[in-house]
Amino acid sequence: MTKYTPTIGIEIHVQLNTKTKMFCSCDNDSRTAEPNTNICPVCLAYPGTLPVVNGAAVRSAIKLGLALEAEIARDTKFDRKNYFYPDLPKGYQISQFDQPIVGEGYVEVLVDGEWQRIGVERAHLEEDAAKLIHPAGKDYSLVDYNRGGTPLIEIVSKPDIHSPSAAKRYLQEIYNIAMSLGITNGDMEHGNFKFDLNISVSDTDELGTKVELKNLNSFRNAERALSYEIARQTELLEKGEKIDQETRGWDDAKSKTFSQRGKEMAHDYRYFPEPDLPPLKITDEMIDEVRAVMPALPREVRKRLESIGIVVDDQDLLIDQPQTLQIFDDAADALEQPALIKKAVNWLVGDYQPLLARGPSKLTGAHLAELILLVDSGDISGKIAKDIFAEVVNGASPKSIVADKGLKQMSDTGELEAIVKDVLDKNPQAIADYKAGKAQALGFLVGQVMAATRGQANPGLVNKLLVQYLQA
Amino acid sequence: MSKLSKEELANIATLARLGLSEDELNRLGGQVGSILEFVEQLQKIDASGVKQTSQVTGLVDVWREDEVVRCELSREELLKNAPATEKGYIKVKRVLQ
Repeated sequence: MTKYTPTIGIEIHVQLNTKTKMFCSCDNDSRTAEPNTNICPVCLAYPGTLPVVNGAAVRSAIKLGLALEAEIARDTKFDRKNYFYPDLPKGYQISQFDQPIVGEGYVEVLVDGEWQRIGVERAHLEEDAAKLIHPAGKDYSLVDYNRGGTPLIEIVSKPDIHSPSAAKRYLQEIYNIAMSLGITNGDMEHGNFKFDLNISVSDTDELGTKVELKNLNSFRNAERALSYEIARQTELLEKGEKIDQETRGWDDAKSKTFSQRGKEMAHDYRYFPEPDLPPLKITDEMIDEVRAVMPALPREVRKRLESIGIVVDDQDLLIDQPQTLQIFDDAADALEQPALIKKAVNWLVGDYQPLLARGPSKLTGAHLAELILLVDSGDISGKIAKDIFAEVVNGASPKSIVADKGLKQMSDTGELEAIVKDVLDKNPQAIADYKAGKAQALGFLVGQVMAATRGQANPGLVNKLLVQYLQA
Repeated sequence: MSKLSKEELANIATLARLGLSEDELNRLGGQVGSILEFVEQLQKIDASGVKQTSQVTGLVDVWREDEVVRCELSREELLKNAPATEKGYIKVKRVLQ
């Protein structure tokens, strides 16, 4: 059997969360807006109107470029991409053709335990199209231009990706970068982050015929669709059949790809420079200003987490949840010792997750550190810590919960000794059992002491005292 | 460039979303061809020392700050020129999803 290598290239569209649209001052946040209420003569393409570039969108693109270790173009301009569709009022989309604002860059992703570098070919600014609605059973479509003109960054990867898992990792990495930069709201269900996947397989050095999987918005489906396509294309080639160059969609319910349209007339967008927009000169000062406010990037965070011995799955979770990561960082600062810092991770990836899923969290790093230190010092047991954790997540201070409810472990030997003696006096049978070699009798006695102190005794100390008396 | 072929003209018309009749396709091929021929004279100019540009205004870096300015026109006024609307949407001939 021949070995077929898959080659994957990805185009990602990220909707920017600037206050206004790419080329006009309309509100860019239409999440709760009525249709066609964030529109103006510019984004409706009324004759005689002129676009003006949104400076914040340019800064977002520079941010992304720096995060991708890419060259930022010093001379960049916009071009018209011409085609007709009702979601595009001008009859062209303002995009960037031959002078994209972001040049070649790369990301590093961890694929099956190995760091892989995946190249980015370019990233450019453009405007989104309007939203089309197709009412069932009607012979018309409806257009809402609120989204028309939303700033987009399109990120084009190099064909450097050779497995579905690497593709998923690449997508997640770009998503995490965009989120940590704060340039998008990242709501994937609402199209803030969409991608097209180009996939071909070949058993030679030459690339095979590529198939485009369009408009996906889920990492998991990207991985599944690619696995399906690789199997489908490999099977066709092994049977000696040809692969059609076509666009395919992903049917989630049937877990398969399906042909959307064949290779039609080659796209002829007739790009030409946008005459209504003067070119941009990106200066060192602008780049330095953006660099000064760059946050920590996912790969830096990952390397930091790795250096303190946090496993990959836990790294993933913390990177996927910026607020949880912030809690972790604050707690780690307060805890200092590696063993205690690992406990903070355990809380955050463990007990914290179901509580977080239930509703908004008020957990702070300071409170988490306080809780861990209370257990570490023996003031409360691990069980009590788990019992009060939900309240801590609701914003209460562990110390004040422990004080208010009298949960502090009884670690005073004198006080405990009296209780231990009392328990022993009441349980002669258990003493006899223990002396006869029944180890479980000790557990029973510990339980009795714990019950007598309503769980507040330090179990380690109780154990020690009991053994002392029994062996005396 | 000489006369534009009928296929080329039909393709240009499709891209420009112009519906041309058979008669127009036959007639306009020659006319559009000679317009192109006329413009083609520019190719004879020696522009080897001239820097390529797409702009002649000399303007650079024209942009605005990211502040929302609500349009003073109402939705009704903005949609007034649309051939058809429904519940605040613009209504168009059905397009496939």
